[in-house]
Amino acid sequence: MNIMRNYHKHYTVVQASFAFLLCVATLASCTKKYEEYNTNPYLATLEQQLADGFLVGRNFPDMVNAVMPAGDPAGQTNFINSYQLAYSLAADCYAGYMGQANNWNGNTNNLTYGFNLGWVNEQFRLTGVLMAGWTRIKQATDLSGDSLQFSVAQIIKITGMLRVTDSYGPLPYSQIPTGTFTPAFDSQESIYRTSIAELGRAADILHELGANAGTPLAAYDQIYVGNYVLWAKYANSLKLRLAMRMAYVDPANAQRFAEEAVSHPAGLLMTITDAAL
Amino acid sequence: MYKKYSIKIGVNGTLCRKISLVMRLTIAMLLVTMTQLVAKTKAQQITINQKNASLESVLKEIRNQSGYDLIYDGKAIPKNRIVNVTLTKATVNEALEKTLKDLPLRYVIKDRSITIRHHKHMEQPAVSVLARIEGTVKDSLGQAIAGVSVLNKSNNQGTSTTMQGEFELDANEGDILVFSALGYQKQEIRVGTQTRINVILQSEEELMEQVVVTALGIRQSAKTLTYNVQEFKAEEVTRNKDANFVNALTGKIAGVTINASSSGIGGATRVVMRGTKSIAGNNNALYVIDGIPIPNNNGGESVGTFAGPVSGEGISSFNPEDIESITALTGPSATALYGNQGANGVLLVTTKKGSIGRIRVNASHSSDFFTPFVMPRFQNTYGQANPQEYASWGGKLQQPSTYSPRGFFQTGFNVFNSVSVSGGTEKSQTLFSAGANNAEGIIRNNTFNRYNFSLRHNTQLTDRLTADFSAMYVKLNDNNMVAQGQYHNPIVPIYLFPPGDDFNKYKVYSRYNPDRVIDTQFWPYRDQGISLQNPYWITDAQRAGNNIDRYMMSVTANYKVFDWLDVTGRARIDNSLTQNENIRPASTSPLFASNFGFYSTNKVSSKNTYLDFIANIRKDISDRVSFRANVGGSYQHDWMDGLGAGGNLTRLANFYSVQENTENPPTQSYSRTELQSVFATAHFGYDNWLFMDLTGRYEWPSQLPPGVATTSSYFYPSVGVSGVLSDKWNVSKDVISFAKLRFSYAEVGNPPQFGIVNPVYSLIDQRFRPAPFPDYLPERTRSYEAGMELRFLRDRLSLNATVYQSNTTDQLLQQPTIAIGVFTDFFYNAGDIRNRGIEATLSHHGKFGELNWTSGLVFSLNRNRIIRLSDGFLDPATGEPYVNEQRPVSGLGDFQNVLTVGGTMADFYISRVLRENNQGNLWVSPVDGSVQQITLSERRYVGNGLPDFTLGWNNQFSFKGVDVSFLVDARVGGVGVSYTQALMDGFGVSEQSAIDRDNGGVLVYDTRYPNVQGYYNLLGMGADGMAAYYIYSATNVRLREAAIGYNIPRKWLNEKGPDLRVSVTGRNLFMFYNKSPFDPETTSSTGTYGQGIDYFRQPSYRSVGFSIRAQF
Repeated sequence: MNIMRNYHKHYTVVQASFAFLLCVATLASCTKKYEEYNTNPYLATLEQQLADGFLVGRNFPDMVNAVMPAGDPAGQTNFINSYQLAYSLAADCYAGYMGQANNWNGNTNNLTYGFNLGWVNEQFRLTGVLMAGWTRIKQATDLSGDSLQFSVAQIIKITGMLRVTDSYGPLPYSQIPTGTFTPAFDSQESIYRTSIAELGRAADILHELGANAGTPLAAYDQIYVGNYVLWAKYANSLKLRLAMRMAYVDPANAQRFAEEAVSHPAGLLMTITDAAL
Repeated sequence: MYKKYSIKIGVNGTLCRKISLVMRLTIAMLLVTMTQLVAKTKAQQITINQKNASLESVLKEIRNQSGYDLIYDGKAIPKNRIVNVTLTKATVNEALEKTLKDLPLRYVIKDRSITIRHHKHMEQPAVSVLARIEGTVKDSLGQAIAGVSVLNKSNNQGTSTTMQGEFELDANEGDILVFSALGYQKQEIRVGTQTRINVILQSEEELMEQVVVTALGIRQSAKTLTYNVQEFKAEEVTRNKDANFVNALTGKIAGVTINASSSGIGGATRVVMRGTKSIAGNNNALYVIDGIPIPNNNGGESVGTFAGPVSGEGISSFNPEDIESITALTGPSATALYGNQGANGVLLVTTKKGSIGRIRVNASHSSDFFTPFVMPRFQNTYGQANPQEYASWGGKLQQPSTYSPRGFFQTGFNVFNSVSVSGGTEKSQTLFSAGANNAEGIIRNNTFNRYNFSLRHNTQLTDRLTADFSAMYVKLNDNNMVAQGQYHNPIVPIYLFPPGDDFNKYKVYSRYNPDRVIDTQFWPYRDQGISLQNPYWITDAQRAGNNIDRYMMSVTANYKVFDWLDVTGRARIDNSLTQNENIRPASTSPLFASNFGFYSTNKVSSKNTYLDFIANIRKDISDRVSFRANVGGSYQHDWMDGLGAGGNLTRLANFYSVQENTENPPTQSYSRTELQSVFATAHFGYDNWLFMDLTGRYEWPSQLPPGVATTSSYFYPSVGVSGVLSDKWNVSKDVISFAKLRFSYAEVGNPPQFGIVNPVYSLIDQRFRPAPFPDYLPERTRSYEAGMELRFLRDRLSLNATVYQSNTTDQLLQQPTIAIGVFTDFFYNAGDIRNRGIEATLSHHGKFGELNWTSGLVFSLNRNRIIRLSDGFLDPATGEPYVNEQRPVSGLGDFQNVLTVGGTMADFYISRVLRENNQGNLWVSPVDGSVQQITLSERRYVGNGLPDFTLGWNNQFSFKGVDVSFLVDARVGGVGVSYTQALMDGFGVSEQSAIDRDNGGVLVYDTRYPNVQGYYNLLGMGADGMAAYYIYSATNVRLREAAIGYNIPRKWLNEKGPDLRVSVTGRNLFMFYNKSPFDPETTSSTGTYGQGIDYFRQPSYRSVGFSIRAQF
């Protein structure tokens, strides 16, 4: 009986051991929660950021502020400083719109046609912000297939790039989305041509689909509160502006593009209600 | 009982019953067969006349003469029982009656067979029944040992040996005799048929060499190991006690670099074994307590000018008095069983257990006193140009100032008290210990207090089942631990203080401000562009502290299933709550607080769970081939969750409430990892001289979630062979007492980083948006090592040397893009870091009359080399291949740590130098006589931060109860930069700046440049200055430790008192050689990088103290 009991003990232990090993084996295969473990719950996944179109939408204010730094109270003086550097000091002083009773940098500055790089570079920095926002929207809408939101981004991008290329001529542009550190410069002509084509497409899409698509961008769109129809009108008006600016370089095409813009079914910005907020 | 089991265990119960039935049938059949074979008819008359015969032989005679069968259990008949029997023509009954008289046996005769059984009522054997056993006890050198306690485990009777080492004791066959003596390994011997037992007791020191604790707590014979293992007794960490016991190992382990944090008392340590291996990951050794890895949250990282206070590390919460021994597993072969945690080596800590016997109380006290060790040199002869200026570029003082920066430092102390109570029976032992460590550093209010309580209970529940419970509670708090930097560091204003001013004015650091109705800081010098504040304001008004409550509990159960198989299950939890608080009152520099002040608090809770199960198998395959194996699995879950809040106060001055008086959003921190593994080891021995080890570990880390990560589980193997040549060829022990060669190969890893495979993103801060990296491969270290262990002259001289090489590949590298697109950064795996080197110890044990002298040399050499970075890889952001990559990883100002192929991981470069003229001399402006700084187009290499080699020389002498020990250690090679010296030069307070002024110019390019102030203002701008001129050799040789101890003879205390030991100890006593203005062996950062940079580090401590230890 003693022996018997011992054997029993052995067997329970052996069983327990096997049970434990089995446990370990099942635990080992039980790695289902690993993805959860490996996720910091206090930061958002990309999937979570799809709610309310946040992943795409959050980039619109960035883009708009990169075109024309206006900002909001939260940005404190950042936007004002940025506007002052890029436009008041760099552009307006150079153009002679403003004069200053100050001899900054030993009087070598944009007022005296000696470029102050700190001022001049600000617009390029803003271009970086603009293109970064646009790239993020492009990558996100490529996945979601939302061509309306992408069209709005196209229009804002062109509004901004038009300012830069009209100021500085050739620019790195088409290769920016590749992420290369040494993008080639695009000629101003090529920037204009692609922009006109892109604006035409954007106006078509926004006109055809925009009226019934609701206003998913309302929370992020500081210009038209997500109203796609107004964006279509803006696209046509911008296209008209581009056409007018190339009128002395390529009159034939300029006329064609201008007529396209004017005759587009979406129409142009005509009334006071079409104005941005 | 039987039924119950059957029901409970179901199917297997039936199986079990069947097996036992079969066994019983077999035994029965065997008996029947035997009975029939020997049954013969014979006369029942028995004549025996035997004196001093064994009982067994008499019984056999009875069987022969009677022809009866004799059935008895072998254990029932004592083999060494001597009987005197005289029988003449007796019957079987008479014969048995007479023979078994006085024995606890009973016989039954039935069907011509005699069955002898134990007599139940006589089971307690009388003393007279036992046989007298005699013998001698000697040590391994053949010397008799007196006073060895000999205990018969069966009846608890005992004796002790005479001066000649002889003993006599009564024992029965099968009894177990326990031989124990202080300083010797306890030995148990089972009494067989012999009556003389000669015992050789191994001294405890030899035991250390015999069996060592290896990975997972598995004990192995040191002789058979195929890799290098270094074991240290607790004495090494308790002789010269440090609040963080790891510091006490400095200079004692080959292959290991230990740097103490410059944050002083209780600070973290940087323990790197066999070189840094990981570019992005952790390079500090893994800590393992009783076989179980523990998380070591290290708060000692402080890099850059603006770093704030630091904290300690997990391991510094242990009480050094609880430690039994420490084993250093420096190489991957030794740590292969820790898989992806094994790459950086392991420090295995074995804690104490309760002792057998009467209750023992151990009490110890030690007090150590600290003063600054290495400090830069100051001038006290030049004053300020004007009293508003902090810099001292004015004229010569009327009389030298009495200001001494050293005077700011107080005598720090570390008072350590501990008591432990232990006792128990053979089957169950308990140990309770409590320790209090109260310390204050050399800077006011830099305090460290730790209270440890631990309870451990070991018990043998049945013959087969043992259990080990332990519980530990640690309460720890520290305050104002500053490692370096200019923020919140009182050393900056102290070192730069103008000797022309009266320092006493500022000692009252605050003044009552009637406008504000509060005390505000008194510091007319303001910020000076380097965040200066009144040093006493920093130490007394500001507070930055941590409060830690840590609970650890573990249980281990071991069950011996068969003689050859036992199973061990272990569980451990280690939870802690850390609360961090930062208080800066109103009038703190506006850089650090609003007009009202600053308050932040941070709570981090961490929970760590570990479970494992190991089956240990020992079964010899044949007489010549031994086999041992371990098979098991483990589970480890580490979780950390933090919530912090606070910031500048917004409403009311000096009112510290997050809710009422701050407006910053709270912050959260989080990490969670789980590791599941299965592992197996196999250990073969051939003829007890050739051994082979195989291990394998397969694991699933949660950082690589299946379904998301491409590969989510990994295998880490190791293989090793060793041969004890001295045993093989039976060399004369007098000359070569031991010779062993070993070789091993292993693959281990570094844990993958949390959240890399599936990253998450901040909605607010858009600067870091890493792309998901499903192809993440954890770092892998492939390592070879070969070693030899030689012992000469009966182990008097021994050499243990290992050469190794490891290559660490699949480093995690990061490529930032020009911040466009959804992702700003890409991760990829590339790179190969090689470490090769030698670790060796040479030791000598000598005995000269009553003088014992042990001396040991510890040598470490490591060569770190970047074999490959990203070259040949495609940039994941652009798709273009990398060419000639240079990867800046750390640095301060112009002193940059840059990784390049062919270099080391600690290569330092500078790029700002003084402008030279076309003759290669110093360029001096012809206009105003100034000198100029130019920036080189290519960085210039100035050296690396790694030692060429380190050497430790440890000596212990003992003579008639007095023992003396000292440790000299040397680090040779490497460089560091001192921005402290640079800024002191810039502010005109360094001794050098005064010497130059006295001499009328700075000696540069072999000419004297007269504008001393202009020169040092250019160079000595701290991080904005020119590091190139402040590079120092890190080579240093010091007297690291010295101690004198005396064991007070018991006769002084009337033989009744406790065992008393008193000792005087010292640490960092003397620098034999050091050319740098700081201690190159401390570090301000315990991480991988940021080494060799002195930016107002706290000086290291010289400590002198005493200790008393008593055992009751």
